[in-house]
Amino acid sequence: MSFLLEKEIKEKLSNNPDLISRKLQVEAGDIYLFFLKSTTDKTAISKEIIEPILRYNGKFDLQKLKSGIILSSEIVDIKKEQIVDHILKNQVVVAMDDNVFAVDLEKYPVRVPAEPPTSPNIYGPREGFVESLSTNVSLIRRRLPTKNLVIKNAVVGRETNTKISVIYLKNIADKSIVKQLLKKINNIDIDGVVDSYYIAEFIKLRPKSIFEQVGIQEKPDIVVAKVLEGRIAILVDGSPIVITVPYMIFEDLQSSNDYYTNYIYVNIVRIIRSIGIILATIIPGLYLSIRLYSYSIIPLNYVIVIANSTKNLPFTPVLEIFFILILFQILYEVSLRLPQYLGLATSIVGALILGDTGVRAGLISPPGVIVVAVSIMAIYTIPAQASQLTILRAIFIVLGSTVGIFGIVGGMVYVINYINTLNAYNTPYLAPYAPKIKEDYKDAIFKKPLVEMIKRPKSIPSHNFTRLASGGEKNEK
Amino acid sequence: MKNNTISCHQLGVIAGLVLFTLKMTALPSLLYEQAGNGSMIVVATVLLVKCAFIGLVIGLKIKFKNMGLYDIIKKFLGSIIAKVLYFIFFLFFMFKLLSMVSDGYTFLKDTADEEYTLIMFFICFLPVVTALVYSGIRNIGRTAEFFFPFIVAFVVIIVVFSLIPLWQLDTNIFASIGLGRFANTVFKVSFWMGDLFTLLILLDKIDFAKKDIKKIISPFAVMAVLLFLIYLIYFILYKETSIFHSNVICDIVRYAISATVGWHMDIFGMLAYMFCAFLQGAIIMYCANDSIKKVLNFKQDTITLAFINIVIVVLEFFFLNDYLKYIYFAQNILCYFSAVTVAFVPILLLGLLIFGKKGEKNAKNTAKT
Amino acid sequence: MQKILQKLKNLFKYPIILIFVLICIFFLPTAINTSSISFRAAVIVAMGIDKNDQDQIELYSVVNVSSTTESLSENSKVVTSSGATIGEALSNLSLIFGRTIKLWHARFIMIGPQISQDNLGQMLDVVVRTNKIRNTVQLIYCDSSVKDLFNVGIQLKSQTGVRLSDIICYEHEYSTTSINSNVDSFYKGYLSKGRVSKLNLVSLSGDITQGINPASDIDSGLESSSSQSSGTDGGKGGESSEGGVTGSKSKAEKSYISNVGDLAIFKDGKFVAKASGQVAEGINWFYNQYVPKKLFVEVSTPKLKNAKVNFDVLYKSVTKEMFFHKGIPFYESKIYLHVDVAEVVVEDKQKVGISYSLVEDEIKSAVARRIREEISSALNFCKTYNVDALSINNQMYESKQKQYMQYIENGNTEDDLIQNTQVSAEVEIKIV
Repeated sequence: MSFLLEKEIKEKLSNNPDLISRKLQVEAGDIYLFFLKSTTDKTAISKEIIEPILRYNGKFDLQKLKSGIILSSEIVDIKKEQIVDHILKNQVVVAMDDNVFAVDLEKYPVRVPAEPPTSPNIYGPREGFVESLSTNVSLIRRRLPTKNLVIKNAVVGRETNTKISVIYLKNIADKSIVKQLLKKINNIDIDGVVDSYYIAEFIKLRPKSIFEQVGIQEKPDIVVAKVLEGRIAILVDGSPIVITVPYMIFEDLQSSNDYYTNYIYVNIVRIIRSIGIILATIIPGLYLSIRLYSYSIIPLNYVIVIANSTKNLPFTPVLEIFFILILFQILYEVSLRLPQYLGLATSIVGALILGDTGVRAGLISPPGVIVVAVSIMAIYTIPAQASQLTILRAIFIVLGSTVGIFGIVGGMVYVINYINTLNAYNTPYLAPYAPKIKEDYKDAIFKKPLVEMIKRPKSIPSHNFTRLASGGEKNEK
Repeated sequence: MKNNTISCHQLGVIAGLVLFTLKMTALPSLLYEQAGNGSMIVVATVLLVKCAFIGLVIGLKIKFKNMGLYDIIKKFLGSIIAKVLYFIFFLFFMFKLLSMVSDGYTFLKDTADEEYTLIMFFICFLPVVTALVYSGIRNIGRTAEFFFPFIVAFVVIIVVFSLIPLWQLDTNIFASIGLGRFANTVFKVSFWMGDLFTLLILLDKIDFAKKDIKKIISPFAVMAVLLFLIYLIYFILYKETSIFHSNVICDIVRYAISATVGWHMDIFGMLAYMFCAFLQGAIIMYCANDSIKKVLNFKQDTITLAFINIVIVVLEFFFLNDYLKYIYFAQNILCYFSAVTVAFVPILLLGLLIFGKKGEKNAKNTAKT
Repeated sequence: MQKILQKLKNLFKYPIILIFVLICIFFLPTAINTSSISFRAAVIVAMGIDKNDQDQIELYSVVNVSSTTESLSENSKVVTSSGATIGEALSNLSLIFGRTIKLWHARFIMIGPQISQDNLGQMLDVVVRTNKIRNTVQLIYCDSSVKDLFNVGIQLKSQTGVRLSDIICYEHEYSTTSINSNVDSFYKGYLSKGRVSKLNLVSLSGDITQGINPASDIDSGLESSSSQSSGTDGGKGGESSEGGVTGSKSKAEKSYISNVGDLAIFKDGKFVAKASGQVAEGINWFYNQYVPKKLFVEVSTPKLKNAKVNFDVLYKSVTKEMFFHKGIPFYESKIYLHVDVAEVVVEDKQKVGISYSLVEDEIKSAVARRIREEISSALNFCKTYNVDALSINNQMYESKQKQYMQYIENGNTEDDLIQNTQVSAEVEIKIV
């Protein structure tokens, strides 16, 4: 090992100022340390590597260095050509003579696992995934301390070298799906992966489709529940979102709260969510088709009320609805991006402008505001599908205003048919309703108590469908 | 086309839908015109025959395992006769599709919007139906299976609301009917009767197991019972004025609910019909497409589907653009064609079922239905 | 060239998107430019049809118009048009009002006395043939001026909020003659064997106890009506008229809209006679779907002297048996009633609050007597006017078709059946 190697490493890493190279002089010769100070634990380096080496009085050799002197738990032998790679993996590279090994003393800022904002719980766990892969894996491992848990690692991204972990239970998950998935992940050739959604795009059956084909979770309890049903979880370093496959659309009707509350209440809530989907996508289009073409559908009293409410409007119904939609959408974008202390003022301005002044000025009508407001609120009964529902709403508005109620029905039929063609990983998208899988009705739109969920969902390919043995109670013999 | 098998339950749903759809508009009116108070006898007889037809389909499936109708006919009667029969089927399904278009358009004009134009109907109906056909029979089956509970729910709501005041009415609608008049009525409305032929075309696409026979029968039975009830209610409610209605599924509930209180229950009838129209249109177009492909030995769908669409548009725009014209055509000209088809083919198949030797094609790998 | 072909291929890769884009290009601009149907069309909420002095069909349409204030409630205007047929009058109406006419929400059609002299079955062909109007729209007969009745109705709505349709289409709680009278039931009767249809009858009466009018006070009714702007003159097509009553009416001619459950009897589509009171009630006893809510009976027996008893009818059922015996038609009916005593007005103060189980038989026989009287009145009415208001012909045909046809073939007519049928009614009452 020489000064030249040090120079070579510094050049390879563009003489980055956070690269530290330290030479320790000991009896046997020189020991070189290379690490990036921004992503390694300097205290641990001092305590576990430098101090033991310098305080050691005995005879130095490589074996002694690795097994007796350095206190760290993870030591990996590497080759000279791999030095830079391991430095970039946030490891401390220790070189003595011609021997090199790496010590994992990674440390970088990580969030504390906290409740994710999109899935709050009234009862139940409040932990959420964070950006660190190891923390996320530990959150899952803690909940699945079983020998059947398999974690397969991969590295994706030429520049980012992002670590990916694929987690499944080998006694439940379908092996062909695992194989298919791993193949797809290993075939990804991209410069960088910043978020798990990048991986999702590659493993989807149809990346161009507006419909999600992978499950997206932020909570370890949900991911563990899904893995127990036979799904496979994909964790990506740097992302708090975990992907689960296979995916069915009715998963988004379920929330974690559903499994920690009384099932009758859950059934009611799920029906409301289903109604929310219809309200979100179809109501504006239906309103337009009624106002433009099919007035005979609604009773006379409503015809009169709508006619009187909209009598002096300068806009045609289509323009009015688009106008209100755009205003609401702008308000939504503003509320997302504004700092909290300005949010309240914006809400008041938005509510006044849209809700009151606009109507009084005769620019928009109260029924129009109500319809669009209901639609927008209903979209967030299922936040995971918000983008899809927004796009569908726009499509149904066009169909309702051009071809009337028949167009809306036609659109619904087409959308359902299209969804049925999304058959990723041998799992029908609309299962268990299309195709009809009666055994899975117990946890789709309606939910039965846990004691009745004896079998795992048949919609998800698996070779072990038994969830509850002997009615859920242990054999006391 | 990939995605080419349906499950038994999906077959039952398809059978129920094709039984139901085209009989919800003008047919009861025409029946009463021909058979008067004996209409219910005709309806009951026809439904029994259709139940027997389902039995025939199941029997063919059990006896000839994985063989399709084309294979069966080819095996026993030769490929030329098979092609001729399939060409007749193709014509039959094209006429059915035409009737679907006329019926649907008129229905929309009557219920949804008076100013509805044929172009608006086509621009919505044909692309959706063609897209459904193009996606494969498996997806059509799944889509039908998904919408089936909603359709049943809507129809049940209509039937229940129409039934409520019915017990107070005092009419007798099961009057007897002479054999000649019965035969004449069946002949005149035979064009509306051949819907279950679609099941024959789908014979080789069924993922069949003997234990699943109940799954075929139950959805079909549900729709048959609902159909029977609707006809019963209609004839009891309207009696002599039955001839005035071209839109039965909405009219039965209009009568039952008072004019000042919520008579807009007919929205359920509209929705039920609209969903059925798309699904039925897809199934018929699929069968027409399949038939013509067998005749011409085509594998690609694009050309045949484009051809079917163009023919439908041309015929509807230039020849059958009036509903009364279509009714006249169906009752006076098409009835000959359909009477032969509807009578002859089942008898032929019954003969093959009874006297033909068992047959089986090489089992295909079927995707999950 | 190849690039263009490739682009076209890409375009047709997702044909449904192409079609959606085409819809947006060709239809969306029109949709964006299309105003609401309430601006393009006039919604008719009620229609009146009669004939004018020139023997032309006159149509009085109550059109919903947007209110000039911020109120969301219904605001109507009566528009008059005329034509040789109803269809022509409807077309002229859209010309007058300047908008397409939408009839779907029409609550009722009122037929005037002049047009009822013609065959309504032919005149109303447009209503049945078109799908723009429901076949179940209420069809009402008015034996006074339809135009005047509409004007009073409009005024009633604007002053009191009570709608004309509420009065006309209401199924009485206190009358035995609630009847579902609509276009369809009219044609059912018209096409039946007896060729008789029954419609609800509404009139303008001078009797304050028989109806309702816009005046807020009994005595000031005349002054308040006179202060309204006039404008109901001119039955000619082309003039729209405001609701209102001309001020110079005398007290005797004051207009009260009256719907007391009378029936208008039509034969072969023409008006024949009015059935009111006992006759109307007698006709309805034979129909299962007509269940009276209340029943008034005067009882005069040794135990209950001059008592007036009011019953709530809980259940009614009618069974009929029709047969021919030696060429004579027989119609035997049995009426079952379950009633509850709601009110008894009795002179003898000793009998107030008396337990009616003690006098049950007397009350029952009084009720049965009353019902038989009404049925008898109805029968006499039918025989006098030669109208099959009880649908005996139809029922005979349905239950005994062969014998009925034989009866007709023997030279008898449907009218003969009415005259010759021996009708009997057995009444069984249970006081709950």
